[in-house]
Amino acid sequence: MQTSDPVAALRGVSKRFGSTTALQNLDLDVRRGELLAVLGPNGAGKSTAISILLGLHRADGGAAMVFGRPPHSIDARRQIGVMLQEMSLPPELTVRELVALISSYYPEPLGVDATIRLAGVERIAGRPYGVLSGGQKRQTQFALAVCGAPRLLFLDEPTTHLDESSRELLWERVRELVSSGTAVLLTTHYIEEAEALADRVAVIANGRSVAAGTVEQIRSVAVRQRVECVTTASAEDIRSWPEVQQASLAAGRLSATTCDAVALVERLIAADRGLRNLEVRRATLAEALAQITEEHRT
Amino acid sequence: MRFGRVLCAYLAETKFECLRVLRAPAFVIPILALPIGFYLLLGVAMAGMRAERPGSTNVVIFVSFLIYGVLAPGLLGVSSLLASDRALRIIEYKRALPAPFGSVIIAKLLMAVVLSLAVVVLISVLGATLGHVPLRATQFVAVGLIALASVAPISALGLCLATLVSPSGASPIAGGLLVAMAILAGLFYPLPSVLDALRPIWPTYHVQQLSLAALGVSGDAQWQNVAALVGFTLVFGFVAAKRLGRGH
Repeated sequence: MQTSDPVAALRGVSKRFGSTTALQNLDLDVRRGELLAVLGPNGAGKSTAISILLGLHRADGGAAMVFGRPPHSIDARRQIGVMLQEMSLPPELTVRELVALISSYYPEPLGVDATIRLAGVERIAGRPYGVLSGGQKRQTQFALAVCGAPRLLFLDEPTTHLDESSRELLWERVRELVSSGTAVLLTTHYIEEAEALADRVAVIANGRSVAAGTVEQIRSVAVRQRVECVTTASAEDIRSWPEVQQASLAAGRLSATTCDAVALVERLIAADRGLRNLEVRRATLAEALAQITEEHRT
Repeated sequence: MRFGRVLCAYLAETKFECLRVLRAPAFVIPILALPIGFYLLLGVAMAGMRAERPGSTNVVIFVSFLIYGVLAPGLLGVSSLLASDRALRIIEYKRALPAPFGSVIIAKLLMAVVLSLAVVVLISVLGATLGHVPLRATQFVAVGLIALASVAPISALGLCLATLVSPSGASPIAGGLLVAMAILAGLFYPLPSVLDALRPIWPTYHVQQLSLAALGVSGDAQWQNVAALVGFTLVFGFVAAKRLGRGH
């Protein structure tokens, strides 16, 4: 379903808060029918970028557009759904009442019952929001994000506090929405969530976009590889080798990261002819992100 | 979006705002009980000692408590609720959503009108039955409607206050302002000449003048009183709307 039409975009966006530069010349695209995961360390500028796309803050420089309109315009907002990372809702209202209230803002909402079914909150629909657990509150917030049948969905740390089964249900629903053409912008600290859901990943560090592409492309950017084996070589020797970046040895099992796996394996074999269970693998997305953001730390 | 759906959004916002308040007894009971309790104590218990004719102290005290009664929901209620919504980031969330412009303000205003209606009815019933307030039904209705209309400038001030001060400071400041608006407008006591000259700066003074004129107690009410109340509503409402809708 993915097309090249951006439904939301930041073009050269800059934003300062006092003397702090939150964003510098940031570009970001979200396209119809794709899930874009925005990743980066704390304080990288992810939340500021999202708040500009939501019309909560205005950019100091550059342009922000949602469906071809300024993000704060009501016509743009009628096409989006929002699940913020830290949000509260009136504790006195029930889940059903909250869905009815938020649905009333949209021109063609899904309907209260359909939304409750879609979000899997049937069992808590009649309970006041204030008595719900953290996970149930997140499920309710997801229901509110999708109740307006949005064409663009902002999900900021959506699975925080969710148990395994609720997380799986939410992932399944997000996949269904994406396959039906909804664009999703996801920010998450759970790298496996991005790996499981994202069509594309944008990495932000120090307010700038430092990498963008598919999960595979991002992983391939990282030159680090992990080498693991059972060896009798000493940890002290291994750590002294120039191609080793990090190494730990526990109960004879070595785990090392390197930028030159071939050279490391050759040296390991030379040092210990009897090494066993040798494994060499590419960087995970988490390792790739760590490397990318480390390289752009200023 | 069709006009009908926009109207539905305003109605839903108002309905659920009222439900929230009705489900929070710790909030709603003091707002209703305080003015009624004070009226029972100072208006009803001492009514027998006063003369019974329009223009008498009973009528003036009744009007004063009617105005004092709508101050609590209009000023304290609205400002504390809005301040709480700001602190909980509910306002920020609704700014990201397609909530119709002003729906949060309109809903809080109408919620205050609903609570004020309860206060007005209760005080009127007490005044007519126990308080020796010798007014005709139409006169009760007239001063009741004036009190309800005054919720607009009073709530606008409450909204404005909640957007200008920190969420934790809104309720105490509103409480102090409530007392000031009652006493310094001369609702309960004659004021020294310096303060008496300043009475027109308080919306409650203009409401009192209109109410007393409607009862024929005072002929002073003029279009200036109406204009002042409309002006208060527009200025405070504009500032509140601007503050609530602003980006950074």
